[in-house]
Amino acid sequence: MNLLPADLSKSISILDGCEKSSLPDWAASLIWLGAWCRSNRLAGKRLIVFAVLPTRELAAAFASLGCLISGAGNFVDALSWSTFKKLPLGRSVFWISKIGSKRYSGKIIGFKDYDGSEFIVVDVTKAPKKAEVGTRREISRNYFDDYLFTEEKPATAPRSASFDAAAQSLSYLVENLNPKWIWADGAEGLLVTNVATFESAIAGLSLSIEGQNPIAMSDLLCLERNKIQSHAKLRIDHPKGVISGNFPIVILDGAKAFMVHEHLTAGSNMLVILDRSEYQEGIHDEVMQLKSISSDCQNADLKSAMPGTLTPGVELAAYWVDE
Amino acid sequence: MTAANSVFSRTNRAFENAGLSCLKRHEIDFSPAAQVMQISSRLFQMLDRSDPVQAEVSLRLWVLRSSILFTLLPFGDSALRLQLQMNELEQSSLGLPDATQLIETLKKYVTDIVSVGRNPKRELFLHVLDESIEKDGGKIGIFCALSAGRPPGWPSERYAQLSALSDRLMLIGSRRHMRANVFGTVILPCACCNAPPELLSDLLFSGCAAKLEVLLYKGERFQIPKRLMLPVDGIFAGRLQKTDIESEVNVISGDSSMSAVDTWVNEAFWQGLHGAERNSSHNLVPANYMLFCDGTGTFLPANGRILTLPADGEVTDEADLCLVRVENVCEGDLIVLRSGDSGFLLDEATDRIMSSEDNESLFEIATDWKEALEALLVTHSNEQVAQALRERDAQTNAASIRQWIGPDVLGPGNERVFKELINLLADKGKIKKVDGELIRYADSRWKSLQELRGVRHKAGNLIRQDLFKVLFNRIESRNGQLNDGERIHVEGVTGAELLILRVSSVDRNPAHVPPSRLGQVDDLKGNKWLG
Repeated sequence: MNLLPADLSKSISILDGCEKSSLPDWAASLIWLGAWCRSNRLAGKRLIVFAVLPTRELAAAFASLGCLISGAGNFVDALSWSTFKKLPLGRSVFWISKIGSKRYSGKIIGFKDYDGSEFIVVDVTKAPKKAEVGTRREISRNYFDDYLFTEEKPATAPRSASFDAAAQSLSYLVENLNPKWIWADGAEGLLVTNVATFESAIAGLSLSIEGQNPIAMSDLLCLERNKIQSHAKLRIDHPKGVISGNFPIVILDGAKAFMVHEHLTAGSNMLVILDRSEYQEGIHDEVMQLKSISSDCQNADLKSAMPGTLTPGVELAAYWVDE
Repeated sequence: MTAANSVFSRTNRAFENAGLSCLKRHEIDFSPAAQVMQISSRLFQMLDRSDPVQAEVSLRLWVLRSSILFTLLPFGDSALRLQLQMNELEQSSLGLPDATQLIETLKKYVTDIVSVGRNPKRELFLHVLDESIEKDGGKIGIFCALSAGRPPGWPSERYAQLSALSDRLMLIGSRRHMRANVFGTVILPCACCNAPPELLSDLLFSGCAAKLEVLLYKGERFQIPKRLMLPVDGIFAGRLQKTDIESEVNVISGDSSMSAVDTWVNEAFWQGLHGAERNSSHNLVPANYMLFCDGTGTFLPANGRILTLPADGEVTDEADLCLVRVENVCEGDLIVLRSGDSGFLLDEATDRIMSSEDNESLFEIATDWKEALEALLVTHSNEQVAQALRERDAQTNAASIRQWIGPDVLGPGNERVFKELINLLADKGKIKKVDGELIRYADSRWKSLQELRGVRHKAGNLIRQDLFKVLFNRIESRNGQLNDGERIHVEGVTGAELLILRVSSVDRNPAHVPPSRLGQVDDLKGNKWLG
């Protein structure tokens, strides 16, 4: 099984300010690690991986990219209607009419059945015309697909362009990338980090994939804050307060971010990134506890997808635990 | 920002260095230094450091020995005061007849060293520096955080002289210097036995430098500190590559009495500054001692937070004021303290908001139940109260009970725990209310507590705004940066005096002190441990 193209270093070049270079080994290892943690799923288990590095600056950015590539590769288009029917009443939703591209938002009031025809009932909370706000609409399942319903606020025009660019860049790394993936609801992962530091670290960094036009790392990651309901493929949050949402993987960037691990959804895989000075007794004790309760299981496909050796300086330990 | 010092370039080099880092020990055969080490070692063995006079002699001896071993200045440099130090040592040991002969011999070697003037370590240093300048284009660092406080042999008035040797040379005195830079070569001027261990670990293990050159006299022992590593797992075992620096094994056998002295001096230094208990006891709180560059120091609560400014002193907007955990404060950080008791600043701002909202008695109302809890604790222990609450399905512990009674914590943060506490106090007869009246009392006090918390939050923001305004004015009026020990009077707002202090050293080993010592600034000028 191939998680990533055989030679990432040749496929990806980095543009750091004005200087261009090929993707370094450490960054390729972290992209691989992000993809591996995102792909590794076993029923009833979660994977917890610790990476201890000489420095963790930019490590989470490259691991996040790996997580996006893996998510894009594993994407299976879901039935929107059945997904929608599971949403709780009162949930805010967004839709765009295909004809005219008018943007609306509203709250789900319920689902109705008229002689075997299903309808979604929504109260309109935002609309292009004031008169439409506050009205109640019933939309038939038959026309549902014409309205491009989402749980996340559709991206603005400039954001849409950057999502399209990201999808195009990723299409060189993901075989048969489903074009619906980039616009499908749900993020591939949550990154818990010091947001300002992270954003400042990736500013000025662009990636060119297979010689295409460079795309800013910040655009390629399709990032959005976790508390904002806008469409995103990766969400980011500070290591404080309530961290909500379900994600296939949570990346905890730094010792402070590691402290929130107890408050995360049990189902997510977890990748903890620390620098060597952060790996101290408190965290070591927790790793040892985890080791004592971990089970010895392995996804055979993914074992074969592991590199023979990892970049010097990258230290890893992974444990499977019951959800 | 140019790509050469961008985050990407720095990270790239850090990984390269971590893979290829090379540590070289240079051993200098210089008999007078070796003799000073041997004689000091014998003297240290002889001295009883529990006796104050002999502890004083030990300290002088350590400073003298370290001045010789640590320094990169010519031995004849007046700023080193070697001969003067020797004379003072001789004077202080007059009452120790057993030591007389050794002191005499030591004096002879120190006199030899001073009279020759040349320092072989300096010569080697200049040679290593020249080689590094020629061979690689990177920055060259000199590790100068050789001990807590001001390291012997490194008089501050000579720092500029060292830096002037090359524009690529940088003195590394704090973690921040390491984190913001990647070096081609870092020179360690001695065995670094008194250097803060976490700083030395960062230097060796964080890919900070491609080459590490350790300058040692014969007899000095440099040990690579042990690093905590992830346990071997069943998934990645065999796929990870060890880096060179970790595979190096130190086989030089050393003098155990010297390492005992280094251990002693590391602790004695902090005891000499703050003298606080290391063991916990009733009514004492854990705290870390910070020594500041202006010769003052204070205890900060080990689990607390402190307002910091950017280490370069450049304040551009409000986001530059950060609240950081005390455990994360590093050498070189600029911290903001209120003169006297830093906690009062929040109280004052809280009072201001409460009076402006016509709610001056909010604090008294919200916390009047504390008297009842205090009364209960006369006959019950904290643990018994915590146990009684747990039996009511209100999860808490004895430490929390102790905090609720004090002024630093307003009360339980959880509504259920708070209401069960009120019920318990009523059941024990400490609150004379029942049924509906008790429920209404608990409801109203919880509401007041939450309101007070909101006010405190606002107060925190208000302080930040006031402080930022004053700092910004100060910086604008000076067209420059903040100094290491600034005093700022926040005029017309809180009337508070704020101190901006640069951290020189941090005692990472927590001490236990009465709450009243927290934030109290000690003037340490003249303290013998600071030289």
